[in-house]
Amino acid sequence: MNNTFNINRFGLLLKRQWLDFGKVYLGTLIILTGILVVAYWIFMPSTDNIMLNIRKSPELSFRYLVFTFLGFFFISIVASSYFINLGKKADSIVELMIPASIFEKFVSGVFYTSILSTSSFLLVFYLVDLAFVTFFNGQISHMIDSNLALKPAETIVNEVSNDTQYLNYFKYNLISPFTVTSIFLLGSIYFKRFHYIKTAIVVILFTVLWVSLTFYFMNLMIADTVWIGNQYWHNDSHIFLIFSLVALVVTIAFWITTYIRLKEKEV
Amino acid sequence: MYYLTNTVNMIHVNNLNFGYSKHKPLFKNMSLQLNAGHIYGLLGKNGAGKSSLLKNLAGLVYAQSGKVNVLGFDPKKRQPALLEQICFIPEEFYLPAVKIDAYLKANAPFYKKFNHNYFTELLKEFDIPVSQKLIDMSYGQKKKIIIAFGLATQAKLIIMDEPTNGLDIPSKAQFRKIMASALTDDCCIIISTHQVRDLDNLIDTVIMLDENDIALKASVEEITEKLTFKKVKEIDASIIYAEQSLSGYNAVLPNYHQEESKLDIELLFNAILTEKTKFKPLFD
Repeated sequence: MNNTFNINRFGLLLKRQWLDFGKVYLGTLIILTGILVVAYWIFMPSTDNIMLNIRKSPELSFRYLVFTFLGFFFISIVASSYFINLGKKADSIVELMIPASIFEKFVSGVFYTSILSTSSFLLVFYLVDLAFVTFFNGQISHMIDSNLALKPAETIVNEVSNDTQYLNYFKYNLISPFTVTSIFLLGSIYFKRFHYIKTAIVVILFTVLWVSLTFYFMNLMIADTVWIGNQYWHNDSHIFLIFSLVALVVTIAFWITTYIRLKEKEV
Repeated sequence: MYYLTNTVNMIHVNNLNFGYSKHKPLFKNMSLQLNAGHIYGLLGKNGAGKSSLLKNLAGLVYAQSGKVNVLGFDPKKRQPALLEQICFIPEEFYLPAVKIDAYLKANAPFYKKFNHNYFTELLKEFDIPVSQKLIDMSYGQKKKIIIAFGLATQAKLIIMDEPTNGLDIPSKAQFRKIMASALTDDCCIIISTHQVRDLDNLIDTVIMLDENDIALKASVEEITEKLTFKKVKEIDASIIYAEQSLSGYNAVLPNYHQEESKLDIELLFNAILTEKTKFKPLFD
């Protein structure tokens, strides 16, 4: 049997990890659903205030902020709790002695923290959004019947897929959940205690440092100068593409570091 | 009638140098060879490195230099083919908040030879309530479960770090009985403990750690061939080591007259630690 990756053994590992990690994950998912429902309840516009003369859907822009903040918060919390057992002596012996390869243990971590957590957040968000939008449209249906200028609200999925600009942002940000989870997954194996807070502090410090240095050096290089090159960097999508590629490289680097950390873990 | 003894070398440790800090080595050029079909008792003072040696064998820590070979594998690579042949029962352990059935379903499939009937038998023997959640059980009950699980994996190498800690007196007797019946020709059992009396009549080879190396590695047969353990009224020059008791002295002497005596592990342990130089020539 292959000592690096075996699909049956990997399946067994996913099942086994669910026994422990599943509880943390499901608990966090239930809390997330609750917060989402409350956020929609609070920020959803009142049907009493609908402007009857507007020629567009009711404004639900709060959803993008809720989506971004709650989404990153949820996936980072899930990722930062995956390897916490390795910080405790008693638990780590059991984890390391399970007959699965280091690669399988690592891929299982990536599956739970990046793939499952992101897709389940998207699903929960979609369902909550669909429920509230349907309810909202039901409430204003009599106004739509009497005023053809008013259009029903759209679900976030429809809104994004029908708007080229939104679609572009979405496309270029596809890598970001993987980047965030890769950072917090590394934090969960790197730190022994207070994984989330410590990782968050490191991320904030690094971001502040990086932004400040970039700003400082860019200012040094291009202050009081005029761009005379081609227009390549004047195109937003080129800049977004570069950001996505950098994020991809960073994500892969964090995953490789996590793998090495797992491989070299001692009890 | 001829008896063919097929000794399978299971563990080779060659010039192992290990320590948690470079300035404080725990093992210096340690070499060791362990074979299948034996129950080894690993003894040593607190901090002598018993748990660390076991962890080196299981690949849970990495040596600074030297080679460790277990069943033909390098344990530090943590390959599944080796891990499924090792049953490691740590002193401190963790069990999830599930019932035994769920625990079994999640963990047993990793071990191809896992024997469910044997596991059930062991639980009965240990008198474990199967319907109770693992987290609600006492420390001793949890320990019995991981011992039963470990033995049911039918692993070739069984490593136990202080397995009798937390077990009550009847359970210790059950443990000795179960371990004695668990030994097969292709299996090697290593038990580390500082409660040496718990290993009475169980181990067949003693490994003693002291001062960064192995102070003694000898079979019980070899020890009782070379040494005799007896009670004496007075101390004379032939006695290597003695401890005062109520009716005189418990003494260790060279066995010049091929006397039969029962190994007193605790006495031997203290004797080796106190008079290491006197014993060394006998076992070299």
